Amino acid sequence: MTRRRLRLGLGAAGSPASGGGDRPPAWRQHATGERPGTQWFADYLIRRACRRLPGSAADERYREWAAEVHAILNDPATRPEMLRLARALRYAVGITRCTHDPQLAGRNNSRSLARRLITGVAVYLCVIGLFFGINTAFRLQGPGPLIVVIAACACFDAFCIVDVYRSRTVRYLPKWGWVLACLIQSPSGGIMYLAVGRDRS
Amino acid sequence: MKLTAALERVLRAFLADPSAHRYGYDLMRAARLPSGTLYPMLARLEEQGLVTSEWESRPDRDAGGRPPRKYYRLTGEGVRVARLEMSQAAEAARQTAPRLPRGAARPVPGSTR
Repeated sequence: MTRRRLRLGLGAAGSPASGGGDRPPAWRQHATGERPGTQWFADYLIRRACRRLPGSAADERYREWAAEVHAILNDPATRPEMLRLARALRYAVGITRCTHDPQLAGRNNSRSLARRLITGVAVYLCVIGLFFGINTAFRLQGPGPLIVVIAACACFDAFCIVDVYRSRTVRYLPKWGWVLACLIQSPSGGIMYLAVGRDRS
Repeated sequence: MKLTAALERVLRAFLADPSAHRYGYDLMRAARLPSGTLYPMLARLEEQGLVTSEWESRPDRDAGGRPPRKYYRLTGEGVRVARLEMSQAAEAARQTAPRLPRGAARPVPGSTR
């Protein structure tokens, strides 16, 4: 116990050798050096997750999480090696989820209604544009393209309705309202649900 | 502080040895929680002053060049609050537990017997 206490250096606010000088923060530095693929990928996921955090917190969190990934990958007690790789990846994927949390991000991550609406409309226009673009480029004829689009819309609506059913709360409309919107306005109802109505908290 | 099942597991892991410094992955294994759940919880506890964190100044020689880790530990207030919450949770569980004799079959809803 005493030994461990002695090894612990800085207090809660500090972090060890932060790289110093004019070097960019650790989470911004690109992955370099001879590192195994799994560690590189886990490191990449953590770096991406840290971009959501404010500057000082991002650097500190990156150091903390990268050290954990390194320790998981080099833990001799965990065998076989595949298990270590799986655990490291699972750890990194969990980290990508947790930086959405307002507590870690240091701000409210929920987007404003206007921004959500703009995103929804943009996605909708992209889908429509893509459909007409493909149709024009390949000069598709006959009922084939239409059947594909209808099937894709049906799958998308089913996904949205299942998501409405499974989520605890939805925003702005009751659950049955979003189900109705998905069914009547396909696919814009589903897109608007994902952009506006889905409760991300 | 609202004691959720996940928070209860974390507090239990800390209370197993309140003076020990635990790193994140160690807590994940002890509490059987994913990293995505654990770290926001630790951040909340740290903000409430129940947990303190410290950086390891120099990793072990057998750490194989591992970067320094961040360790977490319950504060004095954290130990007090955690024990209080645990005892309250245990008391609540005792009160709500069904008073059935051991080995007795639970009644099936809708059954006539």
